[in-house]
Amino acid sequence: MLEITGLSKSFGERKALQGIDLSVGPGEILAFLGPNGAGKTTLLKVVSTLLTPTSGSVRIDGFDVTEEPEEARRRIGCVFHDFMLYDDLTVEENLAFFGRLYHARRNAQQLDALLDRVGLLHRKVDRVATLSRGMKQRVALARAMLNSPRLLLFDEPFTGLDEAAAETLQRFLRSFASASGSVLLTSHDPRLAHGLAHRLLILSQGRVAREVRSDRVPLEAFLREFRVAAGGAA
Amino acid sequence: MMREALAIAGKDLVLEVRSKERFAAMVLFSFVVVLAFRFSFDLFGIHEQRLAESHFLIPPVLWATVVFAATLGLLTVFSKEEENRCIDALLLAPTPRAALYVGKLISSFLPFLAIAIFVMGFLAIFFPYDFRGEYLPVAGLLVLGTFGYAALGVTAAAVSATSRMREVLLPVIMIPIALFTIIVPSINATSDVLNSDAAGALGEVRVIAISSVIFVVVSMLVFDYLWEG
Repeated sequence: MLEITGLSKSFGERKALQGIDLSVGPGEILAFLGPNGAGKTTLLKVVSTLLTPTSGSVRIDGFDVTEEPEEARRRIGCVFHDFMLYDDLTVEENLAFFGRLYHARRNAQQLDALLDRVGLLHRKVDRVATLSRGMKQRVALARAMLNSPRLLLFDEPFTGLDEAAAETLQRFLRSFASASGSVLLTSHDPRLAHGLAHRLLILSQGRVAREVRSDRVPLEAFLREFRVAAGGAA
Repeated sequence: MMREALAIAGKDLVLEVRSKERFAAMVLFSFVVVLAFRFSFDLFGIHEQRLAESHFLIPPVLWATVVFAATLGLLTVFSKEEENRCIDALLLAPTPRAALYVGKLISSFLPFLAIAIFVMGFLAIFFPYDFRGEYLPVAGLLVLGTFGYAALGVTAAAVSATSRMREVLLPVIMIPIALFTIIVPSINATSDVLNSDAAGALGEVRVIAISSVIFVVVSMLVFDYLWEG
């Protein structure tokens, strides 16, 4: 599904990512953890084609994000920290617009079904500006699902969510993965990430400092490793 | 690609109709500029009778006002995209980024053309000038000139969109390029039309049309690279 080989990304002299190698298979949830500036968001942006790698390669379903970015984009859905929604359009107008843009035009019933899946059918005629942060995230999630992606990229999914919303989101991501989708997410919260992801990668100064399988390392042990690997920033 | 471009243009126009911020600012600004020209002519002793016969005065007033108002509009071409980083969602579309250019070109050109028509109206109110009845050819020049200005302006707006000095950078990039390719030929063509010099007007139209085509083609080719990080 996702193959990253020798990926580096620099901004001028600053090296944001250095020699990242990883692969994510179908049905797998992989979480990146690390302090601010560790390179988590940069990595998601490179995978999503928004940033160009300085060296190395990223392939999604065999398509290189630099050489065939449009094919790569067809296979991904993205929910980033800013939700990338138009405040002055309604929920359904946002989805209809992005559906046309992403070659995933849906009729009214299909849009309703998608909104029902994220629990926002009752707010479909409301402008996005009137929604809470958690609701906006769900609209963004619905937008990310418009093109039936195989890989979902999620930046800090649990930031600003209450416990119930975080649980609903975890259920959604698990169900997406169980249908052979892959999820790549970043998080500040090692507890939530450990409970959700199959694999956890701790990034520090643009490098993978530690890789852990959540089913093999208990939470307390992982938290200790996380503190050490992230340089005590956690 | 055209389908995505039309979706972007349609979305922009819906947002514009809802907020009316950009269009209202452009209308108000062009009104004030026309008014300023009118008072300045009075101050310099150019009175009603002379204005009515001045085929050389009206074209620069018309185009200076349209260019000022359009430049004001160009400053906000990508402002809705900057809110909530919607630009990223547009860049994630599995389509050539030239679609974004074409969409923005359509959604900029149409308000600019509407503004140009408003400016004609303001001129009719404040200046005793009847365009010698040549409304249709002048309207045609407005279509061509505003299209060319938008064709260059959307790319200049994209180049300056990420700059903190956008308000300064945009006109600095645009005006030198637009001056001899769009603005001066548009003024000359309008003067030629008002002086019944069809051959002269045609020559200027050719310059504007060729410049516009070059701006569109080059912009579509480079638009992908403008957003590379």
